[in-house]
Amino acid sequence: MEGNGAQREPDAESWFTGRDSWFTAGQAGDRPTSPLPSPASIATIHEPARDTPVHEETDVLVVGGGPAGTAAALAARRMGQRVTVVERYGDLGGLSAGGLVIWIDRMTDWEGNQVIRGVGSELLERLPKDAVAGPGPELWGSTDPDEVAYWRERLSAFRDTVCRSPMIDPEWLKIVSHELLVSEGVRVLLHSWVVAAITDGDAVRGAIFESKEGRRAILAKVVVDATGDLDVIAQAGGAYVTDTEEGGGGNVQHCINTAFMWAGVDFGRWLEFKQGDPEGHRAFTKRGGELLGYLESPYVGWRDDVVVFMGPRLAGYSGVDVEHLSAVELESRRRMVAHLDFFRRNAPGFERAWIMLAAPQMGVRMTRRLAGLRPLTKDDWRAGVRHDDEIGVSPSPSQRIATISVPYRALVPERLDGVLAGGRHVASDAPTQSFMREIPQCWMTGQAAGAAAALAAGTGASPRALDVAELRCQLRAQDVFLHDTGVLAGR
Amino acid sequence: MTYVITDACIGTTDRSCQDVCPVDCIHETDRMLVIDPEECIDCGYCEPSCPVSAIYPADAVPGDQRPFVAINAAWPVGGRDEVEGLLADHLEASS
Repeated sequence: MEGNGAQREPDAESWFTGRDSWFTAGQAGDRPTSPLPSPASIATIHEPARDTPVHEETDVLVVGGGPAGTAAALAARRMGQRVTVVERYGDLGGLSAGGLVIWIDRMTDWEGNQVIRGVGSELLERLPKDAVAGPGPELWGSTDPDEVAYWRERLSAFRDTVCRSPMIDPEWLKIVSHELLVSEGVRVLLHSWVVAAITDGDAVRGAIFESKEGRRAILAKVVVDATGDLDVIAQAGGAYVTDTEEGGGGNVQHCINTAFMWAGVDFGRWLEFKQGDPEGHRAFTKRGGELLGYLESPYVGWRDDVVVFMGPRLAGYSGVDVEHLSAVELESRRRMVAHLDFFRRNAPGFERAWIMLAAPQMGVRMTRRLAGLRPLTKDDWRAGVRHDDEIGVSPSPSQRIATISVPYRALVPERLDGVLAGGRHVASDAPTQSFMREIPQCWMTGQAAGAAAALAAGTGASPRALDVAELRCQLRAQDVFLHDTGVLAGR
Repeated sequence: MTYVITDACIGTTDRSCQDVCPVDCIHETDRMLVIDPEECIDCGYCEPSCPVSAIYPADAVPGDQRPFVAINAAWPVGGRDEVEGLLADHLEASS
């Protein structure tokens, strides 16, 4: 044995016999990483101009099949438009499926009213009963201490209130999403990565994607950028902000990681230990922190023999830098096996745990955000502003803050036409993005972007000049919760 | 893994972070706020809410701020007395 193995307790036998030095995290400098790229002899190469086959022409092109793209596609299709969604992975659901963000954040306000409904709610209701775990509607808003104590450990109670924030089976979300979209006539194109926007002056007219067939174009009346990283709008030369100092966003760390799930867990036994022996649990956490650098907490999945880890988060990496993404995959898996080793040997209920899945899609929280007509800001929701072009309502982080009104203009680029944003990259400041990036909020802004795109495609209006009253009417017809016009502020 | 409040909070205690914490795990002591690592669910809402950028993910706490990991972690062990004791020791050692 070599390297970090010496740090282990002498009596603690590792099941990674002879190899445990690979698996001790927090020792980054000691372990091999992918070699740096060799320097190139020339800086660029010139690609000749070429003719790109047009794969199809459609009304609404949705780029990205995550929560936002799924909701956008369905919303637009239900308004009678031809819709194609292009997704780079082999499934729909994005971070809530392939990214293992299987904990769906809160959809209810602090009184228990469901304020994020629409497509997101429909997807949850279409899941088989054993593919979702969460409190029933009768419990939303409950402050009953026993219910709160039970649901708190399952991430469905916050600040002494039971919420609708269930755990879901990601495979079933993929199945349900895909079946629902194709059953309503949405074209779903998988394994296709959009690499360039097609533009005509300031207007986006479609996108070019690459696949095993090479490079192909899709022309559309309106494009919804649901990539999460604002890929299409950035490719089209649209303005965006980042949270780096040079990007004007104030230097917030947006950690990245590959999430993972373990099966073979007895969550009941783990809870007995955690709740029945606080001192033992504290010692366990401390020991794990010493051995692994720090210890990530497990959360029970949609069944008691599955847990999900939504970290360990790694800081200092960019989600749009492929060298960084490669490094984070390696480091995340190292930390995963280090955790598995430690949990199997030390955590009651984890003795027979095994790696069910490391997320095929990396957990990127924020890269680029739209520079939109009206970004969501902390000052607005602190002041309780309700926008007159409200297209959705988000639960607030705590009871001290009213529910948050989301303006249509947060989806509309400053300059570009023919394109709308839906998902975690809608226009906001950094404090607001910290919750607008969650899955239900992505369903919400995706559905609004899809409905707006359909309205624009159907009427020939520019997205920035849409009749917002009509958009709100369409969204309400699609079960989106919106405040009444009478209580909305002017611009 | 958790978020950690560091020394920029001392004397500021703006409390914006408390308003946005969905699990109410940020506690006030005499001189600063601290995050209870046993309750923190790592959502990250607090980090950008801080007007003085005092909050870091544990993985990214700057070297000279590492003592604050233990200072925050003192909350579940002994509440504000424990935090204030450790903080006083740290400030004395670094003065």
